[in-house]
Amino acid sequence: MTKEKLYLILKRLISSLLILFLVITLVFILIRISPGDPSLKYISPKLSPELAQEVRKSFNIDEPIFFQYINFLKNIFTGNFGISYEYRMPVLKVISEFMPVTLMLALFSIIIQLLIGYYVALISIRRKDGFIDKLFKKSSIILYVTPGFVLGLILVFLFAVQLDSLPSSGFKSIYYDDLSFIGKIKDIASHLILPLLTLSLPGAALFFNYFRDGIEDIMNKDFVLYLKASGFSDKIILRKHILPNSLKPILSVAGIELGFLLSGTLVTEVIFSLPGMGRLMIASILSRDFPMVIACAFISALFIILSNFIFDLIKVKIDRRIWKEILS
Amino acid sequence: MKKFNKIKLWHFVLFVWVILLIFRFDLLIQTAELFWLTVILIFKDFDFLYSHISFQLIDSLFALAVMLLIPSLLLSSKFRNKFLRAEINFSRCFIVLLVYSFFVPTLITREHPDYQKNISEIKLLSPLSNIYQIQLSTKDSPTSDSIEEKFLLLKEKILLKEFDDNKIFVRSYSLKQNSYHFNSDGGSTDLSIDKVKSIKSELVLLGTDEFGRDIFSRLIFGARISIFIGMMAVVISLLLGLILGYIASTGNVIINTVLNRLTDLFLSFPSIFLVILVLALFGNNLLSVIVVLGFSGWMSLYKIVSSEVASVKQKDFFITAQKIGLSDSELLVKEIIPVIIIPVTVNLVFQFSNVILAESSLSFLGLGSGSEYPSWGAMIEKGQEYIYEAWWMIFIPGIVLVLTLLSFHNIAKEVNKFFNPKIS
Repeated sequence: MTKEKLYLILKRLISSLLILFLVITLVFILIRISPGDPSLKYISPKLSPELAQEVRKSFNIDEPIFFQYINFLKNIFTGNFGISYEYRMPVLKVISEFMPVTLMLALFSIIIQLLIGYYVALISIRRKDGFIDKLFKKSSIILYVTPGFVLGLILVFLFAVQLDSLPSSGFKSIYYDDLSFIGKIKDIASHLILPLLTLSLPGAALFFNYFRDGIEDIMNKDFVLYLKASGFSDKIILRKHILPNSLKPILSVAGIELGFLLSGTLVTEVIFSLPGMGRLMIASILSRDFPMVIACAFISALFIILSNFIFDLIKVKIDRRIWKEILS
Repeated sequence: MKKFNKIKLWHFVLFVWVILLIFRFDLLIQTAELFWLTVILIFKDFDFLYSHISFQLIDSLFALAVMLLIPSLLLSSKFRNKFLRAEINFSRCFIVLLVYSFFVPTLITREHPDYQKNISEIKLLSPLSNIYQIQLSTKDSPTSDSIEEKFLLLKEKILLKEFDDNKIFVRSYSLKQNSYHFNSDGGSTDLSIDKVKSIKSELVLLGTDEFGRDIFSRLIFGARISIFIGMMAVVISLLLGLILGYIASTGNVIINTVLNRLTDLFLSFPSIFLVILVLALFGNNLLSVIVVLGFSGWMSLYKIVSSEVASVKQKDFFITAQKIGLSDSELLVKEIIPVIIIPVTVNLVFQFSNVILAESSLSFLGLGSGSEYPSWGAMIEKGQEYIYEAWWMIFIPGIVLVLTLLSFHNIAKEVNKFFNPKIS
């Protein structure tokens, strides 16, 4: 049994590695066949030809493409993504500076999404077919289709412009360093409220629908009636029997959602000018900082695969019968 | 009797048509005249016509054709019953309006989307504010009866103008000693009364943007671009998905695995990043946006087509048809397409709203179809800069975008329900 499990996990690992390899190859090919020379930006006409050649060499673009590719793969296997053209620092170091914001946003956001979705669904089910239920259903669809940038700007307009109660951009205040420890946390929290709402509300609406349909579906099953007849309290039935049974589709969606959040919440970071992965990626694409682009693509794909895998493991933990089909 | 009481969708289509007809009756008559002159010119002086032909001219003539076509289509009960029999509801009505603004934007609004009226005065006006249009008197040019002259005059009247020397737009004016006094181009100007032909008051329905351009007009023309990009991209992904899916279901094992791996690859990576990468590296314009968005959406169609075709091939009716001796193309048309058309249609509607969303996100990030076309996303992006002064620059395009996506979402659900009644 465990051997088979291990085999399946190994198989999945290999296919994940293959996908990662394909992603970076695709990005590499796209970059190399694109017109334009990234080194031109850093070579002034006054520079002597020898020095210009030196710069080109430091960018690894003076060799034939095939050798470039081999070198590039070698470097990646040793964990060396090269040096960023724009920052003149190792790429991974730059990424490690931008990562915390994205990690924080993604983790908080997925938790908020699941919690809001779950509790609102419970409220909605308790008042089934009542006014509140209908209201939640309708507004959840509207929230779900609202694009991130519209929602974000409306929130900024309401809370930052009209009420003037929350900051509209940035991650820290200017006077951040003078604050006490609690003040620092408060400062970051007040900066993160609007981005988190922007990120979470559409997802929360999605999870609300999944939770509502799932829980309602399971509630009408015979075994729930039997449990009720046996005298279990509603709370225990909900927590121990209904919830785990309705969780399967939700966890797959959550895995995809977390992956997308971790790979950079592009539009939200642009609106609130947060220093996160999405903005780093777009800035590096626009400034043709190619080692950075490849590293960002690699890390995004890695996170998506990882988060899918983690949520699949949670699924297996909840329902042991289905591990075979999930892991394969 | 109850059946006849309900308002159907085609009533709404007719209603909008009648409203357009009433408000733009003069224009339609003039367009018809222009069409007649064009027909004459084709035979008489083709070179002259060829040098004056433009997209706008064809667009105006096309709008006339559409306006004539709509009642004749509605008259045929077959068409009416097939497509527009559904009962009226909000999302359907909204989509009808979008379709109207796709086909006849020049009839809905008479402002050129890029007309910058008096930047210093008319910029950032709130919705429902009043402006005055001062029409300068022009020397009456001697009217000649030649067809060419008439054609040019009519064309001048009908086409939307990007700039007009004879019109001055002001927010307010005052009359002092036989001259009008108003602010223009940063300073105040006096204009003697005999130079002015007429002064009209105008309502700016949805406000103006930072260059004094009319937001309503930009919305209508932006809808056209959005729908155009959506349709083209969906057609590309449809073709790709159908062809690749069919190949995968018939081809050998190697092609199948390669294609499956490729779909996994594209699905495991947020496609918006690849889209941005390609657009940033190879330049963004209308064509590249369409192609890239089309190429980024074929995966779901491919999965649906390949799995459906594979499952159809194991069904009894297909095997029977094969044994009877139908050829491959007959099998495709008669047995496979009717089965796969249902999930494909549902997917296409979702795909369409995805493309519209992706296009506006790209425009918001500055990677859209370029600044020569008005776009909802770009309008919202500009509104972000003026969030303190002009709320309407975000809210109006934002709300229209949300309503569009909502309508398509609802329509996709309805289509799904229509084909699969079992799904609640």
